[in-house]
Amino acid sequence: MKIASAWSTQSDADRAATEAYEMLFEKLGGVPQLMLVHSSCDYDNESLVRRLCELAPGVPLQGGTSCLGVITDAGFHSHEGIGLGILGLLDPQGGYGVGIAEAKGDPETAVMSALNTALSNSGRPGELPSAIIITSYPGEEERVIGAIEKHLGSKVPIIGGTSADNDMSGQWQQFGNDTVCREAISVATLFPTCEIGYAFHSGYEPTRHRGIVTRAEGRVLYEVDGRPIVQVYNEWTEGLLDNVLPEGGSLVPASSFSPLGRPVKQFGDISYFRLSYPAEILADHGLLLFTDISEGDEVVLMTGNRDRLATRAGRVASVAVKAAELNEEEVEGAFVLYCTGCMLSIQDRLDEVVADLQTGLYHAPFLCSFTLGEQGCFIGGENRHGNLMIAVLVFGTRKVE
Amino acid sequence: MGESEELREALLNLEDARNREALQRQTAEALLAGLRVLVFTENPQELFLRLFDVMRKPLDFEAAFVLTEVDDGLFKTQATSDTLFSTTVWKPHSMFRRVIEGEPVAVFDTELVSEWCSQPKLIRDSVKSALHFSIRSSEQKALFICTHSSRGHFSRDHLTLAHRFSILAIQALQKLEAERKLASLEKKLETEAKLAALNQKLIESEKRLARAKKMEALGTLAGGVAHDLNNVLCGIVGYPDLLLMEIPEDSPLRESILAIQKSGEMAASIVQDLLTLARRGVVTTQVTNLNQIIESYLQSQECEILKEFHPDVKIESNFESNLLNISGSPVHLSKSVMNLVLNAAESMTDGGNVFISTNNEYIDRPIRGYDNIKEGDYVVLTVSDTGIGISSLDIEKIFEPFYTKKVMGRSGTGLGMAVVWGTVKDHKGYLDVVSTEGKGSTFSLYFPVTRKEIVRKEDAIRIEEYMGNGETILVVDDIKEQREIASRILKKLRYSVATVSSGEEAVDYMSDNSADLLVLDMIMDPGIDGLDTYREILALHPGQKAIIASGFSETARVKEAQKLGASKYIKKPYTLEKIGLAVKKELERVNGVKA
Repeated sequence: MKIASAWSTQSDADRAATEAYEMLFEKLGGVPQLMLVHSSCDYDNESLVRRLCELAPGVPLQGGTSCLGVITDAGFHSHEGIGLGILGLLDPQGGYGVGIAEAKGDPETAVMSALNTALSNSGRPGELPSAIIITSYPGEEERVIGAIEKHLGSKVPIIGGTSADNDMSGQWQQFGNDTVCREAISVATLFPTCEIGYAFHSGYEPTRHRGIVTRAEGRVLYEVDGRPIVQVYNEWTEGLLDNVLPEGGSLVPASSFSPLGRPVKQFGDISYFRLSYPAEILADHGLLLFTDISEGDEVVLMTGNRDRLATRAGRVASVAVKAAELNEEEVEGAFVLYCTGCMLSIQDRLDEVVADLQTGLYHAPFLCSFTLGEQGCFIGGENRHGNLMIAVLVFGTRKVE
Repeated sequence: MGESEELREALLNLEDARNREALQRQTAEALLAGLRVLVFTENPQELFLRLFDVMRKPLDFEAAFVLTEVDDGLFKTQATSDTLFSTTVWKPHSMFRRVIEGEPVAVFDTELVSEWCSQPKLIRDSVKSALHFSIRSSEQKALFICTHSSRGHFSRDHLTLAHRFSILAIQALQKLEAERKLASLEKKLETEAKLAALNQKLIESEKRLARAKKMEALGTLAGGVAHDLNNVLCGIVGYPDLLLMEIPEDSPLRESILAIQKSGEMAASIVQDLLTLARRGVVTTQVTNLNQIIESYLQSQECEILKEFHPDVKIESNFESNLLNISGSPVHLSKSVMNLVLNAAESMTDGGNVFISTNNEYIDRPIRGYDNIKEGDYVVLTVSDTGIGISSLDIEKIFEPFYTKKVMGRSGTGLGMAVVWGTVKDHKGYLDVVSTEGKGSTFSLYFPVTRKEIVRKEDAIRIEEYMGNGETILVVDDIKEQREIASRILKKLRYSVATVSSGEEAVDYMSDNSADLLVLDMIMDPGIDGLDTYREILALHPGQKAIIASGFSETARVKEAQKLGASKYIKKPYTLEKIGLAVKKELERVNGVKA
């Protein structure tokens, strides 16, 4: 197993793809068995992907768009909102496959199709993979995870991100082999020959404010404890909505430090949470989230700050390394998904994020994509979709034992 | 990061660590249980059934089975926890091949996997997910397969446990296999060592047999020579007695005749040595005591001559005071002592010591050179010297007749040690030699003891006591000289003697005549021997008295003749007293009872 990262900020998609791939090939010393490709939406990503497929024919390619650019172990790669990053895995004895399918209103069917294609391309149909990487479009992430778990069982770690654009205008895209879509599920199945570790955390703490959802529809929250959510949330945040009420409007990135959390599991007296990003106050005074919400869910106001978000990624990476029981010499590389909202909140401090990730991953190659939602696997093994989260998948040098 | 978040994270990590530790403990316990089965179960069928039992809970399967590779790369069920899988046959595709190579595989949907798709519908309907891992030994590929009726049942945790168990199982099985191979090798080596020892024994036995055959052949040759020589010697030994009876006491011829007689007796002695080798002349039934024989030898003229010839050789003896008797031939035992002492003395050209000792010994252990020893009481005669010793090459040959390193003509005839060997054989004893070149040799002779007492020897008998009274005697012998000497001796003893030269002539003679006694030579060639002659004459004259004469020792045919009625057996060469006493005794016997 060998992993390398490559990047380009060339504005031309062909040139960017060529530059990045040549860098990758040189670093790996060969053609990879899997390429994770993340680029900003301002690229002509169809050209970019096509060029990569020309350069590495037959190599499974998986990924999607990332807000403004990407981070690698060499830094933040973005030039006027354009940046491309590739993480290449050279593992001839392993098994890797990618599948993509457009949702067409039925994300479950789409993900099944993509998953089976990926497994088949891995040469391991019917076999339980070590991990799954997904790239989805906003709005159906929970259904995607549920469909995968229903198909494979619940114990395969899923790491993924919701493809992002640069301005929430819907320019996000998903990549799967030679295909680029706007509303599709792209799946990579991984059967590596090395150990893997993963972690899924937020950089937020719960506050004393909490309540039970009494009215919700899909991703829109209307009432908590029988009271209108705008009223409740504004009280909890001490007037965060004052400027958007009563007309409503976007809360991004204003709500980045005050998301809602839902307890996932409790370890002893300690709960851990998945977060929901309050994205917009709708005209009917419903609070639009980037996750589904259900009546009966307990919601907790979470709190964060810039310092925590800046240092959080490195700490999550360390947890993933620890989970795989890898030491300093045994980290081969990592794939990181970092919330776009968080990134935008600390954009001026991304060098710190890079430095912390380098430290946490012992300077191994990595690729970090900025997403509109993150999918990951919690300590207890629960695969979840959340917002304002950080998901890390680490690959070790040690062979599976 | 705030303190609260840090604390929360630490607690989460702690909880995570606890959970991991608990999982690892469960894994370790499961592995240990599996290993116990692997290490302590010898029967392969039982081993797998027990493995199914102990791994069922940790691997959470409904059924499990083990496949082993058979002909043409196919795999068949070797053991199963469920009869559903008893007779399955599997053709490996990519999944099985990876499992065989050591990569465990969890299948979440068996319908998507080639190996499972080729199974019968009943199995496909019953199994929806499966866990596969290798438990191959170095000699045989084997797969352990766990099944479940639910789709997506097996997780990465199961896979991890299966992988760890697979590694340990392979190591354990290979260790067991190595131990079995080692044990087999050790057994093989042990067998080979035993075979080598047996081969060595066989070689030694063959050597001994060859030596025995050689001795036998030489003995036969010597026996034949001795027989002919004995007949020639009869005249030299017998006639002086007759001549001495007829010439005056002061005759100047007397000394010459005595010298002839002495030479004849010496020649007869050599013949006896030859007969000893042929083992046809040794009677070992006389109760005797080795201490007396050795003492007698040490006081003998032969020993005096030896001492004169080897003035620097000192002979020392140490006798067991209560030495047990043996049943044997004093003459041959004495000769053996003499030969051993002579041999010892001659090995010490610059002088030295000869030690003669006797002792009683209970032998219950092997003696060098013998495969089997009859356990019991033995008298041991030991003759040691401080001479030049015998090389290992020569020690093999010293008992062969005519083998000598001495100067021929000056000392031995090459028969001395052969006589010792023959004597020991005749006495059903054993012989051991230890020798170191430059330091000396020790000969140990083992003779089985007898609990019988020694019978006092009668005093010399006067000739008047065995003179005849004109009784008729027919001498039957194919050798003319033998007939003549016997005839002349018997006539001198006042018997009426007739002679014939064969058994057939004797039968003819007895058809028309009668005789009070037959003196029958046993071996007559050509023609019928003494036994057949006697048998035919008995048909003519029931109760016919006869004595048997022969140069050889008593044979079965001699004994057969004695059963028919013949009495005394006399050994050639004839002497006046020997034949006179035998004839007289038989003639006085009335129907088996001495008159």
